[in-house]
Amino acid sequence: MTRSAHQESFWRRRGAAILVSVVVTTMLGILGLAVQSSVLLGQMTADLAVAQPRATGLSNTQRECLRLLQALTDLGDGTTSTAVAVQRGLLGRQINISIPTFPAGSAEATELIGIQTSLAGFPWDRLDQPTALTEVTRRGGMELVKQTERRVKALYDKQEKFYYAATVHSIEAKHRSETALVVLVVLALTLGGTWVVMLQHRTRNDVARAYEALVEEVKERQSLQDVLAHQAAHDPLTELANRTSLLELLSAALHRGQRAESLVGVLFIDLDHFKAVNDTLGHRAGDDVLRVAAARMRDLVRAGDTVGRLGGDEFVIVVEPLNNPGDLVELAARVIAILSEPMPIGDRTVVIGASVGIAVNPDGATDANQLLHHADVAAYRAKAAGRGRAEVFDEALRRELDGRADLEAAIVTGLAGGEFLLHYQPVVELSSGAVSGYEALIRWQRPGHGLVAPDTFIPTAEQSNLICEIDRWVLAEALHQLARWMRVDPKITMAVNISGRHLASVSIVADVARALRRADVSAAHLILEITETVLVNEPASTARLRALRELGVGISIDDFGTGYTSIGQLQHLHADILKIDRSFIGSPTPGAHALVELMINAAHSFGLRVVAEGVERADQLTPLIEMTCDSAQGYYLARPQPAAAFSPAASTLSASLSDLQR
Amino acid sequence: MRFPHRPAGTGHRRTPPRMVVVAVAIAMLAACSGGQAARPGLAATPASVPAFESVAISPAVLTAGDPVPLPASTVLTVRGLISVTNDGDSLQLGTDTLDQLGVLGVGMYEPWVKKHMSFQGVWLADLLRIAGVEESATHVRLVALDDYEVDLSLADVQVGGIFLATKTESGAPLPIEEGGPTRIVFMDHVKAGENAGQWIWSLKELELS
Repeated sequence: MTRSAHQESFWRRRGAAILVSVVVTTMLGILGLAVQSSVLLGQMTADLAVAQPRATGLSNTQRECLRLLQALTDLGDGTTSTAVAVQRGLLGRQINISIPTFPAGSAEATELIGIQTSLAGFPWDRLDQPTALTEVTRRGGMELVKQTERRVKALYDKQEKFYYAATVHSIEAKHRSETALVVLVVLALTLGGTWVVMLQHRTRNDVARAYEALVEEVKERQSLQDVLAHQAAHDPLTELANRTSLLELLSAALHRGQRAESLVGVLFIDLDHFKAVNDTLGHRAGDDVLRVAAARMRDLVRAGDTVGRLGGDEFVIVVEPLNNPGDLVELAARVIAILSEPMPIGDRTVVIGASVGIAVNPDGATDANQLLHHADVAAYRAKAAGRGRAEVFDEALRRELDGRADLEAAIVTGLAGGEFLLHYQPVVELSSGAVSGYEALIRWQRPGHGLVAPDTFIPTAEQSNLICEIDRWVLAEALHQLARWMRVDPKITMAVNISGRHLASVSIVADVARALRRADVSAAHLILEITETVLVNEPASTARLRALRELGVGISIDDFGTGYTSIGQLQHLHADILKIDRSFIGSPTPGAHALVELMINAAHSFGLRVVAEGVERADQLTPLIEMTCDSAQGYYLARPQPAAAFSPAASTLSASLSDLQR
Repeated sequence: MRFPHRPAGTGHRRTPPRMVVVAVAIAMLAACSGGQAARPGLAATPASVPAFESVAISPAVLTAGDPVPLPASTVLTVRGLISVTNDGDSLQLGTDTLDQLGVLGVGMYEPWVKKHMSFQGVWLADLLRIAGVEESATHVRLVALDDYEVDLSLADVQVGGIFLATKTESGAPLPIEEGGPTRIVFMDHVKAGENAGQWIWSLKELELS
């Protein structure tokens, strides 16, 4: 019911209640008044019906007394004794009439009978004959009649008084009942008012309760919907996402991956020996195994990844975003390991395993079913290959993954086998044209591959601690070379690239110190080059940098301009040199020139020296000199070459460089 | 000395003034409440003369047309539009002559003493026939010893049930105390006798007009 409908009904009910109360009270009042009047009327009519004949009788009797008295007075003087007798008879008649108007035995009736008797007892017949006693009799008779009259009058007055009192009593009773009626009416109104108010409350409460009920209903429905939605999307046994939900999630992830150009990985996990558990221990035990497996896998994954159950003993993990396909392999291994651990089921211990299929979405692909299918195929292959292992679906991926492992192995072998070597690129001081130092660049003489450039193996090495090994080797080798060169030119510096991983590791400071000691070179001649992005992304590294600077080592920010460092942050970076990335040096856009100038000025203002990388043409050099860039490095000045190319003497080196300059 | 003239029909009683006021007030109240019980409808009296119970005591000696002898002492005088007279233009009746009309015994409820009483006497209609009431007469006026008057229409008299009582139940002369020497009584349920004021007693005179 809508609010307005409830309010309407509320007003209707209240209006009805008020109306009913008023009507009832009015009717009650009218009825009460009518009843009172009729009662009084009835009372007074009854009183009168009784009183009137009495009063009339007594009054007539009184009159006849007076007439008799008159007759007696006039006796012998115009009035005969017969007339007196007649009058006596008439008086007697009236008394006879009066007696029955009073209740038999009442005081009045008794009095009247007494009067009658006393009159009857008088010797009236003596008046018939004129004798000596006639006069006496006459006077006696008159006296008797007077007395009778007084008695009758007394009765009459008493009767009147009584009647009056009765009437007054009736009227007073009516007044009392009128008061009672007023009280009753007020009571009725109060009750009616109370009823209306209660009704109001009740109705208001009804409205409130109806609302609460509605809200409750909506909440229930909402939570029910939530529950249903949850149930629709989740497997009831394990509380993992169900097949439908998984496909939706995977599809959404793939679309996101397409937009963001990131990878999505899928692990297809098929439990090993699950059927055996079901068969030997029963379905209840099987359900418990599934639940434990689900919980373990759920705890294993990252927050953003999804674990789902496809059905039976098949599970899926969606990894998104996937930074590195190798992570999937690692994850798969962890999954297999955790699922292979014994599970307590009831009072037994159950051991199962898992076969895992790995699939990664090819570039821009958004077909979830296909990806799942790939992973499924891979899992099948894993099972066929002996269970308890992971297999990757994609051939190229597999090759790459296989290749990576091979490469890592080759690097290790190469390091041990001395297949690595360093080339050096001179850094030229622009003001003087002299070589201020060299940058060490690693090369690999790999059997069967020839001379391999660092960008083919350094990225792989950076995936693991292998890079630290490489860095250490480079440090050692470069510093040894520096020591040899310093015998010729003691002012020479050596710049060595340090990877972010190595910088972040705890051993960096010790490694550098050790290398310096072994080579017997003072720290001031060593420059560590660290890319801007590494410096920015690894705030923990600042502590290491400080420590390294305290050693006396110089810090150079490599590839500056490619990270997100603001110019202002330069003052906080514990660096000595700024190396402007080659992209700015070689860029034809007019803004690049201004940017380079800006970077040089900023660096200088913070006390940093500037080295321009990738100088390949003369016309790139000139503006740099104009912008008071300190040093430069590039193919135009000198290509990286093995150490042997720069001996025997530095002066020769500087001479050749000067030639080049001109 | 006679009391001031009272208007006819007020009965042998004078209604006290206070009573008049109260009666008027009650009448008004009754009118307001609107609940005055309707008087019993003028019940259609049967066209035929109802038979009234009477006991024959002595047979009639005089019949209509017979002259009526003058009584020793007059008890009742009849005058007016009559044909039978015995004293000038009036008819004097005594206890004997009344007896000669035939004596019947009747009983009814007497409203003044409020009890059933029996009387002996003659139907008023019979008396008037003997008196030779003329065709043109319509009313009879009855006057009592205390000058109380009652009018009866001859039509009502013809309907019957109006009795002239002359003796007590036992045949003794009716004392004045009991309404004698003669009095008019009405049989039960006779319309003319509904008003107790019509029950005139101690008659002295009848006048036909």
